[in-house]
Amino acid sequence: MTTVAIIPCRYRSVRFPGKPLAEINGKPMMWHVYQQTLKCKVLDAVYVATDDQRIEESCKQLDMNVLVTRSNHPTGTDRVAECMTTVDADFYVNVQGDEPMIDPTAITAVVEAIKASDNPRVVASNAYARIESASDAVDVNNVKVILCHDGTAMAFSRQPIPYPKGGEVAYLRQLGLYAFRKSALQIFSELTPGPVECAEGVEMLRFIEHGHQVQMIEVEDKSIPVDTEADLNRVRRLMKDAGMAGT
Amino acid sequence: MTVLAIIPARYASTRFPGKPLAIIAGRPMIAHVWERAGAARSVDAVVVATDDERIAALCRENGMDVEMTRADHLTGTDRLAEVAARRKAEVYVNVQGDEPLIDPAAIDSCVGCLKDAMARGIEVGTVYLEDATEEQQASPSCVQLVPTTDGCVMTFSRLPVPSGFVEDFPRTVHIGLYAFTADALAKFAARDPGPVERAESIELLRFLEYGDRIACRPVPPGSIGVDHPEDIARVEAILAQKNQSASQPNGTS
Repeated sequence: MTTVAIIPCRYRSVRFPGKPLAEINGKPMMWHVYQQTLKCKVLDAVYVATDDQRIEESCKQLDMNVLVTRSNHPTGTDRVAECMTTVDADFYVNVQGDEPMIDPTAITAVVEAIKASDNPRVVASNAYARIESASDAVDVNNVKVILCHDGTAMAFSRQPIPYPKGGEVAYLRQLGLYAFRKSALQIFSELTPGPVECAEGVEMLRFIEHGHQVQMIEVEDKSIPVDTEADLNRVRRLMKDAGMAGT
Repeated sequence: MTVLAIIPARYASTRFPGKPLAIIAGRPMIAHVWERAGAARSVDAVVVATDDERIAALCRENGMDVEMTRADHLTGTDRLAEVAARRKAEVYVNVQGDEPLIDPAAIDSCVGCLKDAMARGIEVGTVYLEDATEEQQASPSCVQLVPTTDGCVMTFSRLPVPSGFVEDFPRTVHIGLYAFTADALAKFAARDPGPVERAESIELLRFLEYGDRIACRPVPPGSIGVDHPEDIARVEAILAQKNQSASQPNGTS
């Protein structure tokens, strides 16, 4: 059973063009993600997937595996699905290219969750973390998930589900860390996005909306996604303090 | 396939005590619901399930079948499960006692939805309104139903889900019509409510939290629930309108 990690990296970004190449302590952001991913013992290989020549060049210079993909993929999962045609594996894990502090144990946990599932309706696994503040719960940038008893996702929404009519609620936040069975990527790319996925802009709804299941796995949320220059400066300081320098 | 319609009717209600007995157009609300449930073609028999002697007495006086149930049921579905354990049928359909305008065709849709889904191993069916009006959405008792592309329920919520963050989504409203197999009701009664059901206070979430699927089908608008005493006048006005059109030569009802 082989498992590969794919780090989708786009150059274009409305808020932060060239983000994967942003320099952190001497190395591009995507290099840090790659190094963190390499620490996972459950993986057989790690690849960056990109549609951009600058990113491809940089990967080659830094001795990182890189796959060139089409530029018109609507979601990161579509990009991972294209990689399936060039790199064969039983499981694929999608690691976000803008989380240089990603915890390798979180990647391992999400891979082990899909490998361990014996539920035939489960096609993918996805990490989540507890939400600590009310403002994080109502923030539409945080996708909330509600769970079934077996830990599969019942639904995802940018609304703060569930509604707390019956008392206090523990809100859970979906993280951008997914692992797929090979068959799941096939299913994903063949299915048309449904109205619920289109309304929310949450690609994991593709599976649920069509009657498949996603196994959720709780991880500690230590990673900081870099969306702005301010995030970048914060991550630079934190990584320097943590001794995660690129040299 | 025998189909039994059950109308759970409680006397106690925070917002409207004695609600099932409220007089609408000269007759108690429960009698209106009874008549409409009986008018559904798919329904073989109708029974009122209550814990209240006043409601039971009224049913007997008016020739309506009634089952006395325990007073400590937490949900209407628990009350249904108690009746189902005593009355044998293939399908049980829950018709809310406060929906005097419920369309018999909507009951038939709900029963048909479950019957079709039983071939897929699904044991619960329900119905919803597509493109709910703002008024329907504003009601505190309004529950949204999120359908899947394969005709099942993804989730229910009192929040407007999905969020419409990227694209608009037609608001769907759940209707209090549920059809169950006997096995589904037995399972429901044996299980404890989970955290999502407790948060939302929506009992059908119990099936979803335990991994059982619920089939669903859209129905045309028409039914108005009675939550407050002031809703009675609205219902009477609609009934009067319907009767008027029925008495005209081209009336359809």
